[in-house]
Parts: sequence; C-alpha cells; structure tokens
Amino acid sequence: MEKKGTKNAAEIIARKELKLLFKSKRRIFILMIMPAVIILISLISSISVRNITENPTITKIQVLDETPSNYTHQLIGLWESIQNTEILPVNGDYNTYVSSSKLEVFVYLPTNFTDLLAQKQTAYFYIAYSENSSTYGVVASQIYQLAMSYQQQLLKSENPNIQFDRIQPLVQVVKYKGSGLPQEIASQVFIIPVYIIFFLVFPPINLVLISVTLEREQKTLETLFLQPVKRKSIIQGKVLYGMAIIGITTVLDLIAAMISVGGILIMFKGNSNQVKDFVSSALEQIGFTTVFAFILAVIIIAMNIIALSVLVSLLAKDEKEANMISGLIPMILFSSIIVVMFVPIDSYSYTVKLLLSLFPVAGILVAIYLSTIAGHVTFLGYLSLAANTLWAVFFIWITTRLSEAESILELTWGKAFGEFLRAIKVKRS
Amino acid sequence: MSRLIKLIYAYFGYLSMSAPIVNVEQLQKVYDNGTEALKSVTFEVKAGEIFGIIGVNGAGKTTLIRILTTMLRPTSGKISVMGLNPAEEPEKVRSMIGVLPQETGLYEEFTIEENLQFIAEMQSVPKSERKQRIHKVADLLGISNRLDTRVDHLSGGLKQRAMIARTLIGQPHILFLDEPTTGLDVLVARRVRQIIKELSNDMTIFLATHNMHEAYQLCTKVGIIKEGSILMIDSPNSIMQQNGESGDDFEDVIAKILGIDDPEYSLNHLEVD
Repeated sequence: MEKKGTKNAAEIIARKELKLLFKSKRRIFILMIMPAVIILISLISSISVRNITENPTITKIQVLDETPSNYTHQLIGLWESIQNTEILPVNGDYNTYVSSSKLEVFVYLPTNFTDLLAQKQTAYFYIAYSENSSTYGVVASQIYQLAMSYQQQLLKSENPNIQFDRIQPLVQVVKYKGSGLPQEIASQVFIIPVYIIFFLVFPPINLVLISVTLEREQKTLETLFLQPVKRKSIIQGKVLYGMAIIGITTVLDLIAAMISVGGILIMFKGNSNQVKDFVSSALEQIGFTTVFAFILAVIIIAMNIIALSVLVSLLAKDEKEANMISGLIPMILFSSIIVVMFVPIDSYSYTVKLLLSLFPVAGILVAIYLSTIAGHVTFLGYLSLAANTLWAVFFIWITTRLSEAESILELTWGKAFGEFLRAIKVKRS
Repeated sequence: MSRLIKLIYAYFGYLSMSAPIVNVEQLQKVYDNGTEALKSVTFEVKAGEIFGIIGVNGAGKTTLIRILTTMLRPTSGKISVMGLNPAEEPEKVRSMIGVLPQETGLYEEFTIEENLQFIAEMQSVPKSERKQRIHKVADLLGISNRLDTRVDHLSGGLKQRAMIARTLIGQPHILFLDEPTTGLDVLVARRVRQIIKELSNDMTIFLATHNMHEAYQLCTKVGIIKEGSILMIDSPNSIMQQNGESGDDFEDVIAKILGIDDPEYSLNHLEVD
C-alpha cells in the first residue's frame, strides 16, 4: 500500500486546520477582526468627510487692490460669490503675502490695472495660491474663470469688435516651503498599499502560529510526525493552510471593502458620480502593471510571513511564547513601515537603496515606497520581488530541514541553529 | 511495495511465530548533550508476543520506543522493524506500526470520530472503508456511543481509549505502547489492560512500562532496562523462578534485579527524577 504523497498529505493537513479553525470562536474572531476594522474605519472616515462637506472650511482670498476703482469693485464683487470663501482686502507688498506660510489664495491687482482697463488695453493681475490644499487650486481657477466672464461683460458693453484680451490673469502656484515634499507625499500615499498588506497578513501570522503551537500543547505534533507521510508534507500543509487563510482574508476584506464602498455611495447619494469618477481615475493613474506587481508583492510577502510563522512556531515552546512571537512579527513589519515613512530613503545612494530592497519583507516595502515616488514600478521593485521569492523559498527550505531534525518536538533556538549549520554542511557535502 | 512486505511478514511471522518482528543489535544512543541513553542494547521481538520493556523513569524506555518508531535516530547499532530500518525508511515503518505515546495526542476541539477520520485519511484508509473501520475500533474499545463527543469533554479513561482507537485505525501489525496506564485510575487502567490483552490476539505488542504488575500480567517476555542497558530478557515467570524468593512478588524481584530495593539508590534516583 503506497502511502499518501506529500501533496495529498499537505492537503489533508490544511483541510484539518481549516476545520479546526471554524470550531474555535477565538480563531473566527481573529479572522473577522480585520474586515470589521475596515468597515469601521470607512464608516468613521465617511462620517468625517460628510461633516466636512456639510461644514466646509472657508478659504481666505487675500486681495491686494492698489488702486480701487469701479472695475476692481465689480471684479471683487464677482469673486465674493465663490462658495466657502472669504474676501480679505489687504495692503502692503505682493512678495510679503506670496512668501507667507499662511498663504491660501492671494490676488494682486496692480496700480496700472485700472488705468490699462480704462485705456482699453490689456490689464494684468496676479493669482497666487498655495499647493498645500487642492481646494486652493479650485478657488484660484474659479477666480480665473470669473475674471474671464467679467472680460466678456466688458467687451460686450464697450466694443464687441475688440479682439484682444482685456484682462490677463497671471497665475502663480506657490510651492510648499520645506524640502523633500515629494517624499512626504510618497510617505502618505505609501500607507495605502502597506495598509492592505498589513490587513492581509496579520490574521494568517496569528492563526498559523496558533495552529503549530496548539499541536505542540495538545501533543498532536508527535501524532502527526508518527503518520506514514514525509515530515515536509506536514510543513507544506501548514503553509498551505496559511495561504488558504490569506485567500479567505482577501475575500472577507473585499466583501468588507464592498460594504464600505456601498455605505459611502449611500452616504453621498447626490455625489455618487464624483465617487465613481474618483475611483476610476485613480485606477487609471495607477496602471495595470503596478496593480499586477502589487498583487505579486502581496503574495510574496504572504509567503514569506507564513513560512517565517511556521518556522518560529516550531521554535515556540507554548502558546504563550507563540503569542509573544506573533506580536513581534507585526511589530517588525510595523517598524519597517515607520522607517520607510519617515526616513528619506530616496535621498540615499543607489547601492543603499538596492541593499535595502533585498531585505526580506521590509525590502518590498522599500520598493513600494520608491516606486510610489517614481510613479511606476522601478527596477529595484522587480529585484525586490525576485529577492523576496528567494527568501520565501529559503524560509520554507529551512523549516522543512528543521522538521527533519530528530529534536523537532523539543526544538530550541540553539538546536535550530545547530540544525541549520548541519543542513548547510549536508548541502555542501 | 510496502504492502507486499507487510503481507509477507504478517504471513510468515504469524504462521511460524518465530520470525523477529523487531530486531535490535548493539543499539546505542547518545544525545547531543553527551547523555548516553542506550548502551549496546540487543534483543528481538517475535510475532504475536507482548514484549515488555521495564525499568524506572529515565532508564531509556521512551528513547528505545522513539528510535523504533522513527522519531529518533540511533547513534550506532542495527535495528529493524518488520524487516525495515526505521532510520532509512521511516514512512514505510510508520505505515506498519501503531504508536501510543505517553501523553494524549488528540485534537481537543474535534470529536472522537473527527480525530479518527483525520488519522484514517493520513493512513490512506480508502474512503469507502473509513466509516466501517472507525465503528469497528470504536466497538472494540467500547466508545461507539461517544464518537460524536468532543475530546475536551471526555474523561481521562475515555481519552486513553480514543487514543488506542487512533493507533488501531491503520490496522498496524505491531503496536508500541509507552506507559499506557500511567495517570489512569485503577478501574480504567484495568480496562485498558484487558483491551491490550484482546489486541494481542491480532498483533505484536511492544509495551514500555514502569508498572511491574502490569508487565507480569500482560507480557509474554520482558526486557529489564537500567541506565540504558538491558540487564535481562525472559518471560515473567522464568524471571520470578530464577530470581525470586518465597513471598516475593514480581515487583520485589524486579526491584532486586534493578537494585532499587537499596534505599540509597532510590533516594538518588528520586533526586535525579
């Protein structure tokens, strides 16, 4: 009677794990916590956004009118009609306002503006707005549009045959004063893919760790090792179980995301098209290659995390130690995220960036960050994916080697290191 | 192939009652920390025997069982189980044996039936036979009416019976039992002994125990082990006749052989334990 093949035995173990998973309320809770958090976060943010929409922030339009006249009064009167804005007449120097860190939107009507209009020549005025908020840009464009419509009124009333511009607004975008803005923006954008990765890998880490340590506690690990199957199939079964959990988590998170999007659409009934436009334009900008590379990155990170979880859970003496480790792995991931968000990695030399990209798991986060800055998947991104695939293979290999160790049931960090050295020696010989 | 070997051994072994099912020669086991757990152990177990290995805690019984059941590798010496070397062909050996470890190894959140179902799958029991096989072993062990009870709701005795059922699912030819009655109350231990006796009609049993009465009651042959060395191998009655004095029971005789009737040894031994 030929006994189970490795693949088949791995499947049986993975199925057994899934069956056990749904028998424990605590483990179901771990599985459901992330989708619940997604719904909760989107609910809270939707309510906040709705509140912002209902109680919008007032944008200050500072107007420096050097020679007030009927022309300028009429023009400013039109600008007063812009919603959620407040006109603040100011005096002084143009440069003072433009270089101010408190700048929102600033309009400068120079001394000759009225004279040139009166002489039926082209009159210039200046609009400056800060890049700090997209609202300022919208207000600036409304100021521009209203100036253009005022010009039409003038042309109509004075001489319809005049063909040249009567009013010429000159727009100046005032950049954020600090250095490294692109990196800061990248840091903010970077949190989105990291958030997805974190949500997808957290439950599997926990559940895989619990599954191995429970086997140890209930003494079933010995029962498993006494079955007529290769030991590596037991490890493969655990990895397969981890992958199945990632699948389940992905489906649950997608359902949660759909519920959240549905909720947002209901909340913003009147503006549902805007939401749709935003989503479709965002997807268009990201591009297919990036989405594909990101999915690949998530799978590779998951494989690394699961292989690492199985590896360390073999070393954990009991559930208490496993819980400690399961807390440690997300902490390492979280620390990597913090480092990537706040350390200006893009300013480092190419060699340093290359070395950082080769790190297991954290390397992919670095690659995502660098790709976010570049606006496309960089060479280092692909290199990091390849390196992390090799890391995953290495972790699975070393875990399988450890499972062959005769001290597997009483494995300690020291014994594991010894087995690792032995495995390398065997490989060499 | 392994099925063929199994059949050949079963056929010739049971017929002749002479072919060694387990053969151990000059077996030595030294752990990484330098402890010599087994020193030049030699013995054989023939088909149909209940072979007991008796000794105090730490004598090397569990190490011996672990080597024979493929969990540990020997440092030196020759071993064969059903004609196969456990260190070289562990999966084949595991397909022919049933092992009852010292501690319970059942999934607490599964019912007895789910536990047996899982092991049956791992043992490649055909799907069509699984149900029937589970009910057969459950009947044998008197747990048919508890098949759908979760393991964490079972008493110690029922857990032990479920464990034995688990070892029988694959229809092994040799059963390794490591202190099967330790921690059980008198009545349950008595029932477990009855079951072992019944099982010995169909298979060879290798029993490690420190309960001398149990060894005397059950075993056709016993090996007495002390500090990794086999001191004597014979049937319990022969051991009694050759070493006992009037009024001695089996435990007294074994204690004399092991030298644990000496209070100084017992004290040191307790300290070691």
